[in-house]
Amino acid sequence: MMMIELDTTHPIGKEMVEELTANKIMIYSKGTKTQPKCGFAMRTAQIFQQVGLPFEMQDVLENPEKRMYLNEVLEWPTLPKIFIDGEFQGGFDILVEMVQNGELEAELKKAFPDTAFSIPA
Amino acid sequence: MVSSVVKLVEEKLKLAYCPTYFELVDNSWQHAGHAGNKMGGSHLGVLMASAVFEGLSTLQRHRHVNNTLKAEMAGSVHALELRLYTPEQFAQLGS
Repeated sequence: MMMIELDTTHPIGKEMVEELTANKIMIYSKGTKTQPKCGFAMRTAQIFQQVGLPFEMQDVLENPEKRMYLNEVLEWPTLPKIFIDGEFQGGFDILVEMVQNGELEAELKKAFPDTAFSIPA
Repeated sequence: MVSSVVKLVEEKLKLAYCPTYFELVDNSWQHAGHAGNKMGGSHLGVLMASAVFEGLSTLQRHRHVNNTLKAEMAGSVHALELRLYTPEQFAQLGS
């Protein structure tokens, strides 16, 4: 697991700290959860809708500066980028593996100790 | 025809991870029409079990392999789908 160090003197870094603090499940993606613009974004949204916990999905396709910043800070080139409790988890294929190997359940239990949720079969 | 990239990726991974299980598939034909896949080897899928992955999260495993294949990822390999397990996890998969 990776705790990222964000530079809060950088406007995008500051913005991300606010977003990651406000949203325990935060996804930077192509499109939003109501209007995903690629298959991976849509399937990621479907998984978290089944989980049943609040999550935020932000479209960074229209914001190349933020997209570049995310790529550099995380050293991860693709979207979506999924965060749970401020920690970067990876992209869609990692999410699928985490669903299967129990890691997603463990991470969500840590982040939402008092809330019920379900892991998709 | 097995492309040389596929062969190189297989050799590198086997050397780096001494996998107890190894499978490499070339999915490039599924992406025919977009850049760089006429020769095969552009879209690869790897299923591998190795003791190297013990104690690492899924993200750490992916980063590890991406790093091992950095040169290939910067070159002709466009997409790499990874399924990485410890030998113990892999043994439990079928059960």
